[in-house]
Amino acid sequence: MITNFNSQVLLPRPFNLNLRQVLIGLNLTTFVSLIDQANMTSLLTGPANYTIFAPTNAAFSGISLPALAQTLQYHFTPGQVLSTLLSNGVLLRSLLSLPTLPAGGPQVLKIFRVQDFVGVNDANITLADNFASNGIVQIIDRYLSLSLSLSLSLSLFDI
Amino acid sequence: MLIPPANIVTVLNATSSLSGFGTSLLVAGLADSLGSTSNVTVFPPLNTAFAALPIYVLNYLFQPQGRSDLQQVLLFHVVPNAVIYSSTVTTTPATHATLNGQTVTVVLNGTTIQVDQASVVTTDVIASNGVGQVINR
Repeated sequence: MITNFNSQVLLPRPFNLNLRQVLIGLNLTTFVSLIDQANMTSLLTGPANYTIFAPTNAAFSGISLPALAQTLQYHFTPGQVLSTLLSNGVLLRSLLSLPTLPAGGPQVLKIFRVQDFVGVNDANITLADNFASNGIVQIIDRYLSLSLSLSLSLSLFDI
Repeated sequence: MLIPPANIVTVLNATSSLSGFGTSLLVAGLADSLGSTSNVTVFPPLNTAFAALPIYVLNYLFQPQGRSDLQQVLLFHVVPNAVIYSSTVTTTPATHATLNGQTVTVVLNGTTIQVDQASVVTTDVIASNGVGQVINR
């Protein structure tokens, strides 16, 4: 939480930024406007905790996303997932469920880590652990495409 | 000849180590009203305190969407209807309502004046409409 920082400006109590405010502060404005377009704003402002893998504005440049809401859901995982918990090979469940898995099980995200380089699927985490009152923002350099989700899910299913 | 001091905003703006507070007042649209309000105590934080905030917090506060939150932060640093000179602060904690509706507690701790978790680093910056007590956070 931001209140752990020492010697910062004396702040009113409580002073917390929610996920939407933190995303704006991180200049991830394309992601925020896509979330708004998909009527998913309450995920950013509600009480439930999420960790968001949020692409930079550049990651969306020139791209028209098919299945907008589903793609966006794939960038969320429940709870507060600190970068220190992101070990190589870790699988995280996303908010996206598709009928391609039994009982509509969640599509998963796969973490890779080589020393200090951490990524998710085919994206790199470029700025980790930006704390909000209701979650954490991990900035990534490209958006997470659903086709990768499907191949990850299938490989899981094979196991 | 002794020239009477300028208002608190002008006086604080003349101090380079407080430029973050002065700029914030301008961005929040509070500079004019604070400069023209009588009888105020202001607790301006040093620039180092602003710099200690995560960059995304500062960046949010300085954008149009963050304006009302910035106003709340700044108003928390202003006590209306009281000019609190250092000589009036004692070891008995005194609670003062701030302009954002919350209170701060001011107390003398040894030789240091504390304002909640902050310490006063420059006392009694005099101004025509009140006083500034510069704090370290």
